[in-house]
Amino acid sequence: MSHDTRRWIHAETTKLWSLPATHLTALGTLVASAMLAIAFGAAGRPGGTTVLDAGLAPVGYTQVGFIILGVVAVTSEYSGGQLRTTLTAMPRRTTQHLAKLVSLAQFALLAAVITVLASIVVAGVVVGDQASLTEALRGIGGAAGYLTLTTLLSAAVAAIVRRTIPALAGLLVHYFIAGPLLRDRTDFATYLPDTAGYRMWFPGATGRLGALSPLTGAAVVLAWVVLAVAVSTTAFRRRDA
Amino acid sequence: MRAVRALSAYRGELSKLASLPSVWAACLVGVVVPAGVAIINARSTSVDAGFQELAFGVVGVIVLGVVAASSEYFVDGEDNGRQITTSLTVVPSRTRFLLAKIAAVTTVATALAVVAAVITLLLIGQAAGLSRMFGAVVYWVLTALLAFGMTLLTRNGIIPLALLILNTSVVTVTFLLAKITTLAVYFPDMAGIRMFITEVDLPVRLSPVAGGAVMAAWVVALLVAGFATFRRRDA
Repeated sequence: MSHDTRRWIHAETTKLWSLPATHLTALGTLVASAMLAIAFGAAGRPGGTTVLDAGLAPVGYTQVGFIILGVVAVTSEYSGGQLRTTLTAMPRRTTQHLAKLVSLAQFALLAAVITVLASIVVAGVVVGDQASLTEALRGIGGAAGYLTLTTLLSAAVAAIVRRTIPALAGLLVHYFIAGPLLRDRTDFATYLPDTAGYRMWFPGATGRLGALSPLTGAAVVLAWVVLAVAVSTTAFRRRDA
Repeated sequence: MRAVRALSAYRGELSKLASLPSVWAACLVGVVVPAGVAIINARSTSVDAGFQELAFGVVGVIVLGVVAASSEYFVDGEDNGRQITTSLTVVPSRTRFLLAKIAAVTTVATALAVVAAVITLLLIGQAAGLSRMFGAVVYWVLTALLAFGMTLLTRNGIIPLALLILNTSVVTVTFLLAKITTLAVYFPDMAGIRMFITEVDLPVRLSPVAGGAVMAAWVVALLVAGFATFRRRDA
């Protein structure tokens, strides 16, 4: 990494960490995830509850925090004219946009590892059992990878939409309403970013949720992210700030 | 005079809602989601066919309720001030302003719910009684007001939007909680859904009227809290 690249990413990281919305979202997600792990551990899931099942099941809900994180990181540039200041400091738009996404990915990865780890530990206490270390590491890695990719996809969509509420509403409707309804009924849903990535974080998934192997699923989600980032970068380069 | 003022405040709120692109998008979602699922599900023979689709379509009025409140406070990309200062200059009485807003949200939510319910039930060929359709419409309107009340308290749409849409998902968080504590059946969505869904796998049975009353009580409590906060704090 060249010196300049590091500086650009560092600048974006400073901005990201200085936003109250990012801390609050990350913290709220952590707490909500741990509470859901207690709920899943206590309620039991069909097919018997293991520590990993109860610890990883909350990811399906807590991904909402990472979607918010991705959206807020981008749309915060559009309130109060922050973007004009940003572009005065970093006039090269592609560089600025990609630096933001890299620093966001770092933040999301860190938040995801902590969140998933905490959920698994809490689930372990509630279920009163242990998970094998290899499986736990695999679960954390897969879930953190999925959540980071989801954050990036959300950020790219937000950069295309440029408005907090519409971007968030669209993403939430996809991830929580349209996605689950489509995957129960149609084959193409296998390749949508939510369903394709399902086995990355929930290895025991069956049916269309289990159609793709974790690695194939990760490749499909990554392809969506690359596509969305390509569109958002092009849009960001061409539009007025 | 009072009636004239109230009426013009109501008209103003309606025209504000109609001028928001998000509201039109919300209406589109509210019709397309249940109708789309109804088309895919066309051969379903469940007694709740059509009504289950409407339970998901409620996401349309969630967006409506959130945007009706949040658009007064925060629109990205606009530097000069918030709509609320203009709104309160035009309608200085905060009570009248809020009542007009609630009336406008109720009007749009009712219209949207009726259109969505008629289209969805026709598509699926559900010959259910009018009372269940009425229940679905009431559920949509109460959900819109719930979203509005929550956003009035937070003044920011992100949290209400996330919580409410998350909780409209196929396996809702409140449903999960109901597996742990029977108290969860008194959450507004779990109670309100009894107004039009008959097959629910929940520990406590509530009649449609009782369910509706529980949900309405939540909405009233939230709106009263929103009202009290809104009257006291700076715009």
